[in-house]
Amino acid sequence: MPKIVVFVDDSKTVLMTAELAVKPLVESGDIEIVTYDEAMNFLSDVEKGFTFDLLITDVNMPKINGLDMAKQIKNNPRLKLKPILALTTENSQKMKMLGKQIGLTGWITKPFSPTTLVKAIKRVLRIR
Amino acid sequence: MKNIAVIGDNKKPKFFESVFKQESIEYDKFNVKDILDNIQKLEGFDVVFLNLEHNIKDITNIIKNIKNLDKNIIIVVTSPNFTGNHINKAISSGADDFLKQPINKSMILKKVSNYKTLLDFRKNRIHENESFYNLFTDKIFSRNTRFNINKEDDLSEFWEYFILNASSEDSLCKLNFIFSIGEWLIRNNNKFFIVSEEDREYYYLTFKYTPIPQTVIHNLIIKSCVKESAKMDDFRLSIKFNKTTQQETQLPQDIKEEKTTTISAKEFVDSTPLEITTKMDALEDIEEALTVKINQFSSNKDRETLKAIGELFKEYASTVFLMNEFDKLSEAIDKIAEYIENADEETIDENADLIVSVFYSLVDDLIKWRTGIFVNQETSDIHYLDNSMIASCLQIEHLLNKNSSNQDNDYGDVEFF
Repeated sequence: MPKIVVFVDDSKTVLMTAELAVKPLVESGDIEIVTYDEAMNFLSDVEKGFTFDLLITDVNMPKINGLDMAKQIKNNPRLKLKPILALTTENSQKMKMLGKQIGLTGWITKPFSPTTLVKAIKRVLRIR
Repeated sequence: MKNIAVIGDNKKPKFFESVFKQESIEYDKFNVKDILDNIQKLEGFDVVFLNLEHNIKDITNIIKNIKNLDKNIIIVVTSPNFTGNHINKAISSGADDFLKQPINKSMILKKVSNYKTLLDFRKNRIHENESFYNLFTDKIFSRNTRFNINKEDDLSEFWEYFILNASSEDSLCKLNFIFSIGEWLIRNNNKFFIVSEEDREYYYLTFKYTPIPQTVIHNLIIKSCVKESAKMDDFRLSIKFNKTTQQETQLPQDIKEEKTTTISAKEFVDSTPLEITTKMDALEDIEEALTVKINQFSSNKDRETLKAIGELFKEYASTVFLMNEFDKLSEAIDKIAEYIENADEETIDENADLIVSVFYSLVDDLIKWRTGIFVNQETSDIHYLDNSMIASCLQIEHLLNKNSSNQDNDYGDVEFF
C-alpha cells in the first residue's frame, strides 16, 4: 500500500521539480503524491477528513505561513502524530527552532537535489 | 534634557523647529538618509522628532534601529502624510508619541516638558533592589517574572515565552542551554523556578533549585555558549543576555535578513507611486506574450522561439526591477533568461518537454505573484517569492544538466529534529 506524501508550496515550479524528484518512489509503488499550490485548499481538505502519511511544506507562502499551517495540523488530534518536513529557502536558526518547537520532523533547505529529497522521505517513512 | 534631534526628509523648516528657535531649545537636524546609513549619529540624543513626508515606508525600520541603539531615546513621530495605519505601525514599532499636525506652540512646549519628566524617570528607575535573584547585580528594575517549573510542559511554556523575542543566535543558543538544564533538573526530580530580571543593558534568567553538586552544571557550562555569561552557586544558576546592539551587528547574514521588516501587499501598493504600480499592466502583457510563445515552442521546439521566450523573461525582469523593492526577484528571473540564452542545443533537444513544463509553471508563479500583490493585495509579505524563485532557477538548472549528463550530485541541507 503506497504511503501518501503531500507537498504544499505556492510555487508550481517547486511542486513540479519535487514531483520529478520523487518519481522513482512513485514508480516503485512506495508512495503516492498529492500536491497543493494553495495551503488553504489543503487545510480545507484536511477538515473534510483527508489524511496523509507525510506532509512536506514550504514556509514562506503568500496567504498562510507554512509553520502556522503545520501548527494547525499538529493541533488536529487525528493528525498530530503525522510527520511534517519543511522544504524551504528559509535557513535561519530562529525559524528552524520554531519549526522544532511546533513539532516538525525535519527541515530541508532549497534548492534540493532529488537524491536529498528521496533520502529524507525514505528515512521518515522508513522505506528501504 | 540633553539633546533633541530632528530627522526629516524635507529641507523646509517645520513649525516645531521655529518654536525651538524662539524658546532657545537647542536641536540638531538630520536628513533621514544619513540616519538610515548611520544610526550611530543619534548616540547621546534624548528625544528624536521624526518627521517623514516621503520615506514613510522606512518608518518602522528607523524606529526599531533607534530603539536598538538606545531604548531610552524618546521618539516622537510627526508627519502630515500619516494615516491611522501609519500611526499604529509607528507606535507598535516603539515610537513614544505622535504629534498630530497642525500643532500649537503651547502644546509643543508642554510635550517637551513631559518628555523631560519621562526621561528622568527612565534614567533613574534602576535602584538597588533587596529582593534580587541573579548572581550578577542587585541594580535591577523593580519588576521580575517568575516561572515555576514542575514538569516539561512548564518548561516549554517558559521557552515559548522567550524564544519569540530572541533576536540573535547567541540568545537562541543560551535559551536552548537553559532548556537542556531544565530538562536535566526535571529528570532528576529537582523542583525549581526560573526568574527573569533586567537592567538597562542585560536580561538575567536565574534558576533557583534545591542544592545540587555544582560540578555537574559547571561541566555543562564549560562546553556551552553560556560560559562567558553564566554564574552559579549551590542554589542558583544565572545567565545574562545582552540587550545592546553591538551584539546584533555581529549576527550572521541570514539572521540579519530575517529581521528586515516584512511589507504586506496592501502597504506596498498604498505607499508606492501610481506610475510604478501601473507597470503591473506591462507585466500582464508580457505574461500573455510568454504564454503564446511557450505554446509555440511546445509544438515547434525551435531555437528562435526559445530565444524570444528568453527575451520576454529579460523584459519581465527589467520591468520588475523598475517597480522598487523587487530587485532580488528581478535577478532571479534574469538568471532564467540567461540560462535559456546560454543552454546548449543538446540540453534543449533532450529536455524540450521538461522545459515547456518549467516555463508554464514559472509563468503561473509570476501571474500568482503579480495578482497576489497588485490585484488582490492579499499577500502578507511581498518578498515571499524572491528566494523561492532563485532556488527554483538553481533547481531547474541542476535538473536539466542532470538529465543531460546523467549525474545527480547530493545537495540541499537536511536537518532532522
